[in-house]
Amino acid sequence: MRLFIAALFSLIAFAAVANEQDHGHDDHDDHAGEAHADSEHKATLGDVTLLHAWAAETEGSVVFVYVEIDNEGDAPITLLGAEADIAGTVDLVGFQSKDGVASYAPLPMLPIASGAELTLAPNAVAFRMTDVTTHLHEGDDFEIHIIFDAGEVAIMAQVEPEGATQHRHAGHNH
Amino acid sequence: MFEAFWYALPILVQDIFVFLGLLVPLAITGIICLFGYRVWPLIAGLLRKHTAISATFVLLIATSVGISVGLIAQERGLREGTARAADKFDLIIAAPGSEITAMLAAVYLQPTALPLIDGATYARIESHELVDLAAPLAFGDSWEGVPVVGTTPPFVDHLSEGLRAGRVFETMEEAVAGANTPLQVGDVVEPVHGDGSDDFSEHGHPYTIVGKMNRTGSPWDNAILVAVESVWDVHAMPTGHGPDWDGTLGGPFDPSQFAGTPAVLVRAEQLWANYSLQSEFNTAETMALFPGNVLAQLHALMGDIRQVMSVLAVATQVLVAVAVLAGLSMLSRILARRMALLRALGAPRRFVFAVTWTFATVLICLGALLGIVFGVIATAVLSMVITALTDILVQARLAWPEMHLVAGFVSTVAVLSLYPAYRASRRSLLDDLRS
Repeated sequence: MRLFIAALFSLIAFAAVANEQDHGHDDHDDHAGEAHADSEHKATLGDVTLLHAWAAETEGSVVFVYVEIDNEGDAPITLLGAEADIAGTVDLVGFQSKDGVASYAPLPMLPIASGAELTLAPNAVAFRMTDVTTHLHEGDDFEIHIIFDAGEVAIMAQVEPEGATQHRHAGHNH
Repeated sequence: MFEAFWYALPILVQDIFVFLGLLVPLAITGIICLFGYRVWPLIAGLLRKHTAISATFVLLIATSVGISVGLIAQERGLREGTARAADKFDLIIAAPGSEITAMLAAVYLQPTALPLIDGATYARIESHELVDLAAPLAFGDSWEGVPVVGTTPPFVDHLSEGLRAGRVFETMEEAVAGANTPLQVGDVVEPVHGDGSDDFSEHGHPYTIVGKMNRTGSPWDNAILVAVESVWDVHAMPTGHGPDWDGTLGGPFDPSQFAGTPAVLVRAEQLWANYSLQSEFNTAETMALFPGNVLAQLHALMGDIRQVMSVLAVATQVLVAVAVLAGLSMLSRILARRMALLRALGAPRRFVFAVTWTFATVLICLGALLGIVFGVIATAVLSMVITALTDILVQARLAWPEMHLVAGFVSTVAVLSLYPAYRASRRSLLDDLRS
């Protein structure tokens, strides 16, 4: 019986450890010691600044990409979508909750008013890449072309750990 | 390759496969144990002979399974219920501060003192080309603990989608009651300032209930809605309209006469327009939030708690199973004489092993099945209690995650039952025959 109970507790302990490993380790204080050029995190299109494009590591072929967009110009600009070489399709999607069930719905466009900031983030607006051919690991980066009515701009997106909720440099202005 | 195939399957099929996959250890163990034997007549006889003790084991397992699956289903039901309660609140604009505080105040009517949005800002929101509906939500007063909220007639239509009885308020002396309030059309209420608990002061402004809303499944079912103009008026503030006002309630308001509102509900027909408005009104003066979005973030945080709960639920079940198996070891001693007789008649050790394992597994499976019934009952009762306590309509139902938990439990314990079965098969034949 003792052996039996011991085996049982090891099973529970194993389940707990496995559960722990499922959690991503968000590491947002990792700024020191890294020397990324600004250009890697930032892109501009006229008066529009894009900052901190990122995605969370995943084993699936669907990857959500997030970025901060700041329209410092005098005119509104409309976000239309994006393209990426590593993905079959990229859709601009918005989080919605209907009858208590959360989902992402495609957005045909998203106007950003003059002086407004739009932060693409989990459970909000995102680019949804489908048919991603490359397995993305933490620390990888990939190029994504973001399309506005005023033109297109490329930015490197950083792959953050699985379960991350923001870019590791979120809050830094560069 | 497998991943692509797996994700291409409908979710229901994935769930069924996971369920069956979790039962595979039970099936394999069963096939290996029972191969070549017909144990069922003996098992039926044992169950009849030891009805009371078998029923006790089954009830013990059922209670454990019922509580576990009930709790997990309830957690999901609460999550969906809180999200459903926020469905009507597309976008909330408030003064900058805590998103959670603003959401709790606007969606769940939790009493909170929020800074006010001024007339110029409100006018900018109201006149925005993408806005289909803008309504001030002015809370603070109450009647016998029921929150009284000042707003506009279109908001009542938006929230209730038609009234259950009566009509929407048309004057500053009329009000509409939520579905769960004890009020009927024709009743008169006189709200007090605040929640009426400490700073008790009647406003001396009675309202006549002229309409009753449909059930929304949110705390607004236990609220009274009045014209925002009347809320400003009873607090001796401008009514939001100039001297030429004809008395028609609602917007557009005169910015210079706008007394301020702690929150504004904004609705655009299109999802993209809501997000565009959110980015535009997230400024130094205003904070724009999607309650659904804030809730999803909160639920993501709670995800960790959910996992802990799941582990605890499994651990509890396994511990109960250990107790049951310990009991079965004792039972096997009670059965020892019969088993010894069987062996004396020529039955091999493996037959004794198969009978003991099957007996344990039958009790576990019966317990798990009854546990699902208990879970359904527990879920229904808990949902009713939570709905009554919070006014948030919780409709928890058992679903696939709970079935997976039960399948995993049954398989695990069935495999663990091999040990007492092994012990039973190794007992000394002569000792047992003599006993």
